[in-house]
Amino acid sequence: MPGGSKRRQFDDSDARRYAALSKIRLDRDEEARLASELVKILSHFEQIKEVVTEDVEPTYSVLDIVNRLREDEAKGPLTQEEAIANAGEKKDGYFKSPKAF
Amino acid sequence: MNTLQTISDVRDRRTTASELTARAMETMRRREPSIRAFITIMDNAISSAERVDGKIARGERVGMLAGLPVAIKDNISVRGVRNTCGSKMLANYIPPYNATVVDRLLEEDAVMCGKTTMDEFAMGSSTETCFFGPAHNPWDVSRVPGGSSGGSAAAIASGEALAALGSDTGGSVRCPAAFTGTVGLKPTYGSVSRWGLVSYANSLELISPMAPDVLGVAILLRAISGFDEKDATSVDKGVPPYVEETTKEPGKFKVGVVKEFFAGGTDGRVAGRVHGALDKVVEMGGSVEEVSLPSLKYSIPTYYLIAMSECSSNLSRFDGLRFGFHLDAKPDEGWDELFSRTRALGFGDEVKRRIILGTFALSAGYYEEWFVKAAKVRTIIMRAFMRAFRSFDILAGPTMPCLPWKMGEIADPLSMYRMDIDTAAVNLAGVPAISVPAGLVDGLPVGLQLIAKHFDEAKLLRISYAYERATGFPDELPVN
Repeated sequence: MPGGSKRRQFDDSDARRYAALSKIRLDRDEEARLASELVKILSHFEQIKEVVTEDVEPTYSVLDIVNRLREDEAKGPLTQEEAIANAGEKKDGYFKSPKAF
Repeated sequence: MNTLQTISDVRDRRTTASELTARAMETMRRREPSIRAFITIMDNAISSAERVDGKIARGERVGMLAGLPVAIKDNISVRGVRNTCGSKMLANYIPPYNATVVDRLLEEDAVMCGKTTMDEFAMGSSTETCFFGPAHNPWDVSRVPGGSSGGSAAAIASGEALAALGSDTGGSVRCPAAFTGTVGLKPTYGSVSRWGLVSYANSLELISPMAPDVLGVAILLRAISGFDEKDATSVDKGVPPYVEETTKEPGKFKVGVVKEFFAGGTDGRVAGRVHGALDKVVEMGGSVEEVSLPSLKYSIPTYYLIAMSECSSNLSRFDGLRFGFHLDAKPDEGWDELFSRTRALGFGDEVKRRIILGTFALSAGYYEEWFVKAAKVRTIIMRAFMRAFRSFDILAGPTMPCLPWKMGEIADPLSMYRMDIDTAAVNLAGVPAISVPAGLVDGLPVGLQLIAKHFDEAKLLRISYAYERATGFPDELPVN
């Protein structure tokens, strides 16, 4: 699979798979172009694998603050009108979506 | 004239906010056709300026930015003004609220004059990925102004604004500052609220001040810094009086010149100019020594893997339903199909590339191999900085490895990513860094980057200001 030099390269079907997971529709030409770009990019990124990271903790945030919460008091939320003002389609004061099922 | 003098001239009625704003608007009218620093010009700027003048005339207290025309990057929310992020996806999006930094600018009586050109969702180093077209470098309009906050930098360098806000995820304020001969400072992560900034890579990015001079950056930083309960990553720590700190003498200080910042790909002319700037630093009383941080050679893959992963999650909110680019559903079209079609048409190529690669790096089977691995290398890079700051007050090197390139010259995505080689590690470590003008090569600006440890912006500003006084570069901007 993608990445490792001993494994097969990222190909059009991978591009299709991860585009689908990203909810971005691609046409065939875009899939092929993206696959070839990602092969190049990933082979450059591959170099981080040579770094020895045993016993190294990952950093997801440079701060040591965690889960700071505020008092549970209502503070001037948006009005319903403001909240839906940017929606492309609305009905009876709600967002209108396509069918989900 | 420096930014502080401009503000005190307004307060002391030697000039007016309306006059400064009218001059900026007139410069826009003249220069925008060739610079294109703005996506949206705020026509209410003059009336905002008149309000500030009214306060002064009535003898009321005015804020520290009284009458200063400030440009705002188009990913920072201003209530009622469209916030496009340089994308078709948000071309018509009007935020119903202000970013915290915008409220703070208004409290300090700044005059917002427009929203600036940027790479789409801040993903780029040139503004060329902007859906509305790129901004141009005022020093040579056939060249890029840097990015992603290129419009903000171009606005300052051309005199269309006297200061600006940008955002810096991997160099997006320092790169355009270097390319336009202006000053840009990326503050310590957590010191400026991100509330109202459209997220791209939330663990790396920060709203950042830009100005023609160091004092301008210092006073903007003073105005926008500080705790904000609306941002869970905001740090509850006092804000130093940055302007006073900036004007203090720097005394003796040790500069570590980072060897990796002068690696193979660096243009020899840029390296030469930066070494010339460092000679000036020695004259000012700094001692300069080379230092090696070998893990910096991994900054590009580490930075991009993390940024792309975070972006794939942050940009999942763009579904075309609640806000932004909207398509009507075809008969029988379900959520998935409509969502995928909307995003295909609403996002540009670079944004799609990063979302898809980020989705891959976070996906089952590859998460440990790519995303977690990058997060571990990030720890190593951060520790390397911390170790270096035990021996040095600041670290230094070029901001960019090259001169501003010609529009369209860099077409390959990976070649563009490599341009962040000297800036991205700073965001991985969360430390503050500034780009100050280091002079010209062939008529094009070069930036000197200075980096300090967490929350040591005061030292960065003090040394930068002493350096600026010793060189006098801000007077050279192509503002006419």
